[in-house]
Amino acid sequence: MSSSPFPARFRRPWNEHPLSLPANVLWVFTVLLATGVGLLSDFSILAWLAVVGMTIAATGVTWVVRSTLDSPNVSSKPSDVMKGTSLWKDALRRWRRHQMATASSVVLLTIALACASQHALIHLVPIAMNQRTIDFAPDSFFSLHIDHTRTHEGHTYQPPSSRHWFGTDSLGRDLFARTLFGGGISFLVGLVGTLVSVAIGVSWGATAGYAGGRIDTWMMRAVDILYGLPFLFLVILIMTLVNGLGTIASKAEQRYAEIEMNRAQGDLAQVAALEEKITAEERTALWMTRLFPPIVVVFIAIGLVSWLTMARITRGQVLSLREREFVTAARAIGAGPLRIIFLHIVPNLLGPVIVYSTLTIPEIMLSEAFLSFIGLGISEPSCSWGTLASEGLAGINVIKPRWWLMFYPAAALSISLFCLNFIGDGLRDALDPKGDRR
Amino acid sequence: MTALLDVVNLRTSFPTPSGLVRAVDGVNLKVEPGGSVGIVGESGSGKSVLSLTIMGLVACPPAIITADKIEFEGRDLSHASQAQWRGVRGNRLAMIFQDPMTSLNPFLTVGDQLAEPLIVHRQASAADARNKAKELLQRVGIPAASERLDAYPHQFSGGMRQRVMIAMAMACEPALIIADEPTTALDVTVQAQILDLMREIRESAGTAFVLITHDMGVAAGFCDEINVMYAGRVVERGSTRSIFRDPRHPYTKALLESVPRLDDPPGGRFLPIPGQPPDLTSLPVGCSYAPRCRWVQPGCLETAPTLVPVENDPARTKACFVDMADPKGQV
Repeated sequence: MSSSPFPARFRRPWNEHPLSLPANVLWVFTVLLATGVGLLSDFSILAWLAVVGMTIAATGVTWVVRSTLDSPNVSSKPSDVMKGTSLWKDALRRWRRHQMATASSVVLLTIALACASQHALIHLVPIAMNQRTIDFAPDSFFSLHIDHTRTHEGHTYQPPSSRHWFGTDSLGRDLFARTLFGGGISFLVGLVGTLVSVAIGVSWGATAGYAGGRIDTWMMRAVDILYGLPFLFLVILIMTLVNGLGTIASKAEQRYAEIEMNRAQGDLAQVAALEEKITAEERTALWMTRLFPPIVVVFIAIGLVSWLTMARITRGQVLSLREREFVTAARAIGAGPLRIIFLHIVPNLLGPVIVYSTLTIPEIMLSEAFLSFIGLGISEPSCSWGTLASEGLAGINVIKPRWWLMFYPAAALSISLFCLNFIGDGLRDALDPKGDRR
Repeated sequence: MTALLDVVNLRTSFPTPSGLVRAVDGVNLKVEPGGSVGIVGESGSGKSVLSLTIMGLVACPPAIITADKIEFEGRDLSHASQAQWRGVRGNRLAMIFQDPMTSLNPFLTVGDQLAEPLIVHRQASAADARNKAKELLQRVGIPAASERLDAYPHQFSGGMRQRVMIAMAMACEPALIIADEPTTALDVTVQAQILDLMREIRESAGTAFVLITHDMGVAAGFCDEINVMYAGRVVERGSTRSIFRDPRHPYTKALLESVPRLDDPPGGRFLPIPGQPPDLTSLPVGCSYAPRCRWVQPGCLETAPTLVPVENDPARTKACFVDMADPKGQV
């Protein structure tokens, strides 16, 4: 460090170094890009040049950081009067020091943004084109990389190339577009399912724990009974019921279409006869399917069965928290039970709940993958990382190892789960107000 | 003048597998507006349970609470509903807890916690409550109050946290503050500051205090009247001056003898009280202090003494048969 070409005033400890985070993120993206380009079978020189360029940039930034690194135990500023700062400002500062968590969130945000923009484009472009069918040229960017439903004739089972970055599937659909679309669905299911499970689990557990006594016993016995039922049995039951409804509803929809057709032709007698035929059940089924589309049912079904552990964790924490003196003190100033539970106890649960939630998101994403695999849940032409991976698994055989079918969705899923774990870790440290505040 | 708080024959007991624990066993307590009453006694004498019962903070299904009267500001609280209790607690009747390290919520800023009683009882807007919280912090002597409002409890020292607890108790200008060992967890210099602060509040706001402590020195410095508790009962009551000058109950005397004094001769020994406080599940038939008493008489083991006025000083009461000046002559 003594040979550093930079004057001493540029020295910073790693935690406060303005370039330490860019260096890390650059390296992560360099590796990702190199992997991506390496897997394309007809890589172009340009792509490799980009990889080389990024490597040089990352090395350069790292070198600057290394040569201006100061020893971390030398405080750069003397601390004046300790000022109160907001929880979120402190949390952000601690979060920024957690390098892995920050890098993970950048990666995860990139993946999520890519997925979200694919969803936005696929839904917005037809609207922008006055609801016309998409008639882009087969070689346009939209057809090749965004439209996940387009079948490229003569391009089935293509390995990754500069035309189809992640290859194509059995119908010639672009796997890159499908991976983006599937990611959107997977994230949505994971997030909404987790929100449902956190909302139910925390409320249930906190109420049981705070009420105590007989109410606690009954509420937790209910949880025990639900634990005893096989989780997937419940979900499969719900999904099957809904699928049954869907069958009836689609029949009703056909009848309505027929009625509309007859009405258009002016055959009113036929219209009346057909309207007679529609049963009350079919009406109800149609109404319910419109109210709860299949994807919403997936959220609800998975959320409904995954709150149990959350409720147990919460209840255990509340049992110990409610004996703490600050709860007695809150009662002594006249706060009511709801205020105490939601203002005094629940914030103290943030740590364990956030950590458990970051484990629940992947769990729910995997459950959704399994459900889709056995034919419930997400169905064609929609897809998720789970369905893509299971399709890919079916596509692999010894003679023709179509590895890309499974590799990309599975890699995207793994990277996301990996990032979520680090983010959870970082959040736990950041949100603890007792954490040190350097 | 009507009493601010009038408690008659209060009993709090807890059923346990080994029998009924009589934590508070027939206590009478009267606090005048602006008065300060001390309750002293060793650990396990029922001081804290008494204060929690008066605050209505003892959960009633496990505990059994009976009282002939718990009257506060002319309202009978012995049959009050939870909602009525909530209206009183923190509003007219507030409490300062023993350990300021654990009585503040670590996840809420000091300002939020100070504002809470105002939001609960006065329906104050967030901005009003914040202004009032700032005034309160200044009032209890915390510098740079407006910046400190956004600090978290762990950024405060023990003494500052206890000041915050006092500010919280004062927020709605209560008529009575119950301070449950407010200085026990603090070091001696901070103790003195906290007591000064409480004294200042008492004088300027006219708030009455019930001070619960095991420290005779703290009680002597703060209270007008002292109740000495033993095994859930008040054994002696009188003005601070008279109790310290002339203890009439053997337990009070023993307590005072076990405290070091500045005028003790050097090298002297303290006199600890022999034995242990009694098991509250099986109190002796007679006086519960008799097994440890130096002046014990045969009669003490048969009937329990009641609180009666002391001869030649009707303002004082004690629960003892023995005249310590003349142990042979029983009352």
